[in-house]
Amino acid sequence: MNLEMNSFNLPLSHIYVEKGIKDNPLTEFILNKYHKANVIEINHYKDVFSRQRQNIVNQRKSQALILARKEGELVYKGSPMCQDFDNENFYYTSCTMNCIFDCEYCYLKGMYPTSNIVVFVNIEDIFEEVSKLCKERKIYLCVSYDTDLIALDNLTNYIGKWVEFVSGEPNLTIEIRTKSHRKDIYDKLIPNSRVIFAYTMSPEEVINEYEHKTASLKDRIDAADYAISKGFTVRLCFDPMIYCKDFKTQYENMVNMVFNRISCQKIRDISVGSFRISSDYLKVMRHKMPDSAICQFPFETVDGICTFPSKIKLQMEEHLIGCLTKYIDESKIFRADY
Amino acid sequence: MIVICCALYFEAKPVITALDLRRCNENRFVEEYANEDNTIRLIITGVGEVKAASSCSAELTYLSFLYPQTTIHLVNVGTCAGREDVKGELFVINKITEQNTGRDFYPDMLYRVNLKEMPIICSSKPVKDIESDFVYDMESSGIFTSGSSLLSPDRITILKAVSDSGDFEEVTPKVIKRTIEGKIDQIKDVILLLQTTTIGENNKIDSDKFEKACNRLCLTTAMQNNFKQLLKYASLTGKNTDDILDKMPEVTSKKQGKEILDELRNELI
Repeated sequence: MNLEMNSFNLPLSHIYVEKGIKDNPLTEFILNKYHKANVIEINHYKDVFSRQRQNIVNQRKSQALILARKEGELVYKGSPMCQDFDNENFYYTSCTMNCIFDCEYCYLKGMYPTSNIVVFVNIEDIFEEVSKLCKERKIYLCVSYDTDLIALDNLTNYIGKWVEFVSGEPNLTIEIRTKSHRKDIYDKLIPNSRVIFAYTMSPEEVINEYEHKTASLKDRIDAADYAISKGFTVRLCFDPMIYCKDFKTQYENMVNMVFNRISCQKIRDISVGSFRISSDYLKVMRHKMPDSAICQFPFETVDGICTFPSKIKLQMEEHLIGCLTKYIDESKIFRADY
Repeated sequence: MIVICCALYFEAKPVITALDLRRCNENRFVEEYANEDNTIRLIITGVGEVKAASSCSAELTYLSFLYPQTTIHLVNVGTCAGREDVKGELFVINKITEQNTGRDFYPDMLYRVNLKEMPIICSSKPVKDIESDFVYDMESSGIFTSGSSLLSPDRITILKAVSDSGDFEEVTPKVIKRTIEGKIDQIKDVILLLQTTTIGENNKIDSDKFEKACNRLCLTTAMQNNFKQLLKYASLTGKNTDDILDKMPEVTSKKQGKEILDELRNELI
């Protein structure tokens, strides 16, 4: 591609707003914050979000924001491809869709037809739905799967809202997964053991190669360490593991770097899992990102799930677990089923 | 490649002159002009949504057989009606409302074209009552719907210069031409910017060599797909796919072919 970045508009230079939510306080807050943005009125977010043949690679260079109301199903059953950490009632919800980070292998690129970010401004409706679910049983809810909520918190302030909501719902535990470097959020929140901040840890080489715009490994470790020091519950996710030629050295160095800084006693738990993706999503990603080496990797497909060839996958996971168990008890390590 | 659509010759004339386009007769279904190296083409569609859509479709279909779709950018250059105080201004359109159906269309606004943005209402006949927040034309929805059947929404740009405020009896060929002429430098800048955004096709695998290698290896269709995937990966990781294809030996059974592919996979990853 011979395109200079300065040919593109700045990210969030365009904000699409559903007619029905113009007066919502969050809409007003965002539009005030981005007062220079071009605001385009729309009837329904899918009119923009679901257009055919969108170029997700170019859109990444100038992501637009869509402000909308979430309707219909607000909370979903957790996918069997995601880890439930032995929680029985595993759900997830999306108060925003898409991410400001640009991980080449991310399933969102196969799942969504666009790179534009949708913020649903009616988070209170999601809270209401979750409250109903929590009435009779314990619920484990992932709130940052289809986005990186911490990275978007300047825009939405949703982290604080979730933490406050969880404190009033004794049956609810949430996980907020992130690759962000942000530490400032912890200065504003009250720790709650049922709010788990889950940091995805990847070797520096993987971050540089595939996890564009995300925090460096050092910054992720710093942020996780800071959260622990402030009394927050932290999970470390060595998931998805991405294959690289010298994965043994890369993953070993990463584990050493993490536990030289973070006390393993203070970690709630750890997840380990190799990259896995639905073959339908991968097919879309291969079509839309023909120049991405990770998307074009010759994965193995079993029962509609694409993974690294089983021999490599096993070697990678065993090696990582070997490195981790030098620091942490195996009972704290959860492995993905795929 | 940039494909410019204009409804009328008078709209097109300043563009033809500024970009040094010449009449060409490659596609006999449309009136078309092109520059010397064929990187900019212009067609005259005629007035109205249907004519605009059908001409645009004819040109894009023709070009899509010759060039990858990712290398084509469609630009509609034309005049429109708008408020009195914006007469003579050039806008890039961020929303198209088809008046007949009420449907809305959204081009992606990715490129820094340095023009003011405006939503447009596309009507089937000239409009007299102008609402302040819109401009009005008669082709944009036809061009967008036709273009988006082949191109991504970031590859369609609508540029409209305001020629009148609904007093269409006064819109003469001279007025139209003068309106576009007044903004021709900006139009040219946008076109040159968009020209830099066309994407070439990388990682092309020599189809002839690939087919011959598949025959030598006795590969089934599924195995051929796996082989192609391996080659794509090889190409992206800096390997020369021609060398790989040339080295593929002649085997006598599918089983042997599969073994060769397994070896290649192990070698590559």
